[in-house]
Amino acid sequence: MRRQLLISTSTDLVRIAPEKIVYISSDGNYSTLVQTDGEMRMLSYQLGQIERMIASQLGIEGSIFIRIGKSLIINRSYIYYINVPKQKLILSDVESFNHTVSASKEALKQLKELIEKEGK
Amino acid sequence: MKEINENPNKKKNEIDEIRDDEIRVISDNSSKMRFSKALGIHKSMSDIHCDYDIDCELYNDCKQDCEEPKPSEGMPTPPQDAGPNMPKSKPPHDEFGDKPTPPSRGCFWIFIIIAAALVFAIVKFCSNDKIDHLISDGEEQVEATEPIEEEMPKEIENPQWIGTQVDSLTQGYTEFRDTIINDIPLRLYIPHNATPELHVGKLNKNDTTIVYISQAADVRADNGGIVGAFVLKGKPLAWGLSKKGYCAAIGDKITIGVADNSPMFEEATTKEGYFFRQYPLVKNGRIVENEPKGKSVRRGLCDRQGEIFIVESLTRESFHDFSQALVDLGVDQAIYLVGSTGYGWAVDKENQTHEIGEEVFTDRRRMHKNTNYILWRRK
Repeated sequence: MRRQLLISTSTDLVRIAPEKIVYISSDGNYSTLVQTDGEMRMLSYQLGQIERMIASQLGIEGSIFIRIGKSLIINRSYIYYINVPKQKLILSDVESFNHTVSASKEALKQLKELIEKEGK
Repeated sequence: MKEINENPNKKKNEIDEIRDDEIRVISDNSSKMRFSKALGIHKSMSDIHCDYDIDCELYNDCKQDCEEPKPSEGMPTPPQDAGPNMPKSKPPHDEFGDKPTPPSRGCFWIFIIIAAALVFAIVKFCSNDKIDHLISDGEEQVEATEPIEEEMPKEIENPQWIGTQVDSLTQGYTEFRDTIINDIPLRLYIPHNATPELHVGKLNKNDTTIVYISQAADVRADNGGIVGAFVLKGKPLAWGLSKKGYCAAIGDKITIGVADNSPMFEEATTKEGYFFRQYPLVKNGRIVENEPKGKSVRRGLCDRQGEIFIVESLTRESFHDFSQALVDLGVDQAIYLVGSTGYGWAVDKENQTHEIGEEVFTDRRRMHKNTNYILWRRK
């Protein structure tokens, strides 16, 4: 079985395959995990803590995730559309879900360059 | 662009630091090693994260790692076929290296001498300690074994509640108790046979099931949003941490506490419970200082030996004086509730309604749509 991300608190536990995560956004000391099936899950961890969990648990497989600014971790597999001037990023599988998120122009510019470089 | 590497030696803030205009690929230590190789040793290992826009800070990190091998920690020796770009004075690490560098002979003897001295010192110390025990009198021994009272957790065997004990058949109501502590007149509202919950929006003043209601979380004046995390019957309406005090109402149980992150937030979302944040006033029987220094009518939600009640100051008080009065009342945990003219009411045993504060929903002042309340409903 492929590695799964395990997020555990004192009361509950979430185990999810990395490819089922579309993005994780931050809201203060909490984070919201958005799944490919449209479900959203509240996590009582800061985004930085989740970033460390991804790095330690998934190792190199964790590189499918990209931290964008202070408040977003996205799954690079679902990057569908980037518009730098409009600060718009659409994460989609072009089938069942479509999420629009926002980031700074500079971050989106870097993301665009990264994806372009990967595509070559 | 930066790449984040999970490294336990790095400080937490160091890892967390990212600006809004930065991105970084998430990976672990192995990729860090690959990164260092990409700097000149194994350039053929293509890794998009490593090749892309090398960050100076990370480069220095890797370089430092490469230049400071510690033989005593069993650091592997460099490979024989290292590339021409490799620094010759101090070879970099190789995770696939064969043998650790052996310590020199001189170091070995120094180590032996230090170890022997250490063993001697330990033996001498133990023997002295033993002698001390033999020559000490009984009283001292008892003193040494006595537990430190302050460190023992307080256990409340028979809680002395302030409110009246009522049987389960009594109709729900709010008991009023007035007292004076430190020259501060206080009114205690103690709900009986009632279940706590939160409410957002306009109130139904004809709702006879409510026995006590008071404004709970603060609302932002600029955008009308609720300040701090807020859960209404399992549905999160606001997130974030602006105030460390929290109250969770799940079923009949209220939990009051002070924490950055509380699992009660998640529990409230999964069990159709309620959760909000406010200024902490008392934590484990000790005062918590808060920033606002002005004076106002204060209200606090308190837990005293498991008994939950609301305390209101009948005079304008500072946070500090009000919190101190709660501590002196014997309150274990307390958080603030909207004070001043914050609106609410309480229904006494005779079914009389007593209004608290001022009703803001008038022609002159419109209330925010997120104005929220904590209330107790008759069971």
